[in-house]
Amino acid sequence: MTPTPVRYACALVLGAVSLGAQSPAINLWPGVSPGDAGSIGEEHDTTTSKDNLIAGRPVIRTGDVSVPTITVYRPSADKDTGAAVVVCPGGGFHILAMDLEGTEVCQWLNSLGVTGVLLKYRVPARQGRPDYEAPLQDAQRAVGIVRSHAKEWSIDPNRIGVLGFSAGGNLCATLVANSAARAYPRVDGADDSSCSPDFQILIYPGGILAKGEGLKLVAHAAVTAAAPPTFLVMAEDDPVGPGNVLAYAIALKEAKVPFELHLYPTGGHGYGLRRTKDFVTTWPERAVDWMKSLGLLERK
Amino acid sequence: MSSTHFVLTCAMVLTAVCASAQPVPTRLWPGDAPGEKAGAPKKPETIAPADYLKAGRPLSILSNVSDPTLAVYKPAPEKDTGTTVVVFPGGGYYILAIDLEGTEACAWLNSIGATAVLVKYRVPRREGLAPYAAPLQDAQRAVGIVRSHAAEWGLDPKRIGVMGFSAGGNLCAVLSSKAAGRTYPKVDGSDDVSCRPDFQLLIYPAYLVPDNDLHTLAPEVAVNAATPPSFMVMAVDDPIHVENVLTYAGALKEAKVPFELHVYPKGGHGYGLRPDGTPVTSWPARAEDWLRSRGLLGGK
Repeated sequence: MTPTPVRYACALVLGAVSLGAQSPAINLWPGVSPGDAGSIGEEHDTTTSKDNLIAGRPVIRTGDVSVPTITVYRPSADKDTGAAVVVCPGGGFHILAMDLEGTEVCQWLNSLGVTGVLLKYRVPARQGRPDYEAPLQDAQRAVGIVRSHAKEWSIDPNRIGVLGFSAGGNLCATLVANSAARAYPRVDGADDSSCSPDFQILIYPGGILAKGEGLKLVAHAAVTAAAPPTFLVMAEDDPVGPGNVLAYAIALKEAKVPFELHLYPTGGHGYGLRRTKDFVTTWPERAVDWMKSLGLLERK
Repeated sequence: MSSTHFVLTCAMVLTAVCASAQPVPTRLWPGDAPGEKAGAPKKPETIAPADYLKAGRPLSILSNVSDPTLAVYKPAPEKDTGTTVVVFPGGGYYILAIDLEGTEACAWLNSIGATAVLVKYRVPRREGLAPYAAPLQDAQRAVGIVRSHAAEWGLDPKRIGVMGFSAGGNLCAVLSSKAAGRTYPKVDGSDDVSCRPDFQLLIYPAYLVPDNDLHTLAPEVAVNAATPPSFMVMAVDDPIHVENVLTYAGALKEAKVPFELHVYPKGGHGYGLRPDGTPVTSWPARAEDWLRSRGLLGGK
């Protein structure tokens, strides 16, 4: 990893974000998002009083996203390591758990000296397209924008990772498998820089285990030697199925990609970073140790 | 020796245990161990320092065990939870790493309020037998002796687990798979109680999968619904293949047996419980959380 030469030269994100602050949302696409027909309704929080609480607190469930964005959360200057993580909330490609698996994660990353880039990708799944397809375009575009602005945002272009929960974990794995080429026509210079993450963190990922016998991955999340170092967490009693992380770990081993996997007996699904009685919710401590062991949290 | 004499010996041993930090080992078999040639001259047991260090410290190699024993290490009375762990050191079924993966594990178990029982099982491999065959007899006998003496030794007979390193981890898994019947003719009443462990900890276990088919369990460690709750830890760069735990975890998942699995990128093999700054060597903290989450460290 090479140090960013001008770490303190410019603390502005698109002229607006100083360290320790949050940028306004940045639209990923200049016009209509690729493949969209403009038929999705107004974006809104779909949570109702009947929805379950997580660790005793409510969750924002953003629905009908047709204007995908990134929002950049900067750590305080004295903590800044130069590392950045693009955060992909889950929600089954139907909605986005924007606080539980989004803003709360960015705040945690900031506490570690890492820039959090919250990706609001398109949901629900577009009719006639695989559920991950529009989100993949958004994720490729997002990582390209972050990397192409690395100097300007004082981010180390060699330490840009992704972190995803549930469907967001599926999206990270799909991005990793499909980062050799963009899945949309070039828009601008941001699409010329690599959209391949330097590391990935998959928290209770869903939808990457192929249906049928054995522990095999779906084709759109296939692993090659080009996959980055990977961190995986899941509970055995997760209804989405621990086979997702076991299959991914087996594929990483075959591809000789270094990884870390923590599978706990209980905890279910969708706990985000909120601590419950289940030890699986100590995963952020494991993730910090892992990031440290990769040198991701060193100030450069 | 009659069984009365045997029980008496055990009682005397325990008295000695309470009075001293170094327990007096108890012989597992009243005469020759099963399958050993009666009266034949035996190579003397030897103990010698290894020609390498672990975490900067020497370790001892025990060779030529033909008279297997168990030794009971009791925690301080104010800490005693009633939980017992029978410990099987590793060494490829050739030797036993008797301090690194034996006495040091017992000291740690005592520190968290568990009784530790260190088993010195037969090595090296017996000609013409499966590598685990004689050790399995010793393991079945050891767990039976411990359970049958639970009341006398102040142990909870429903909380007797096993813990093994490398080949010792293999031995635990073989024992869990073959706990339905003894593999030797009955000696005494100890062989009438169950030798099925109530839980197992497999630390970088060996030989769970054949070298030429890393995704299929060896038949002698087959998993079913009666397999006890399991804890596993291993490093991806372990030269004896991380698939040992990945494949075992997949089988536990299929059999709906609760398990916990921690896989770390680095650490190699044979680190025992010695912390060396590598994240994998923090595994005892994970194991303690797991034991606690199962109610095994919560008092009698």
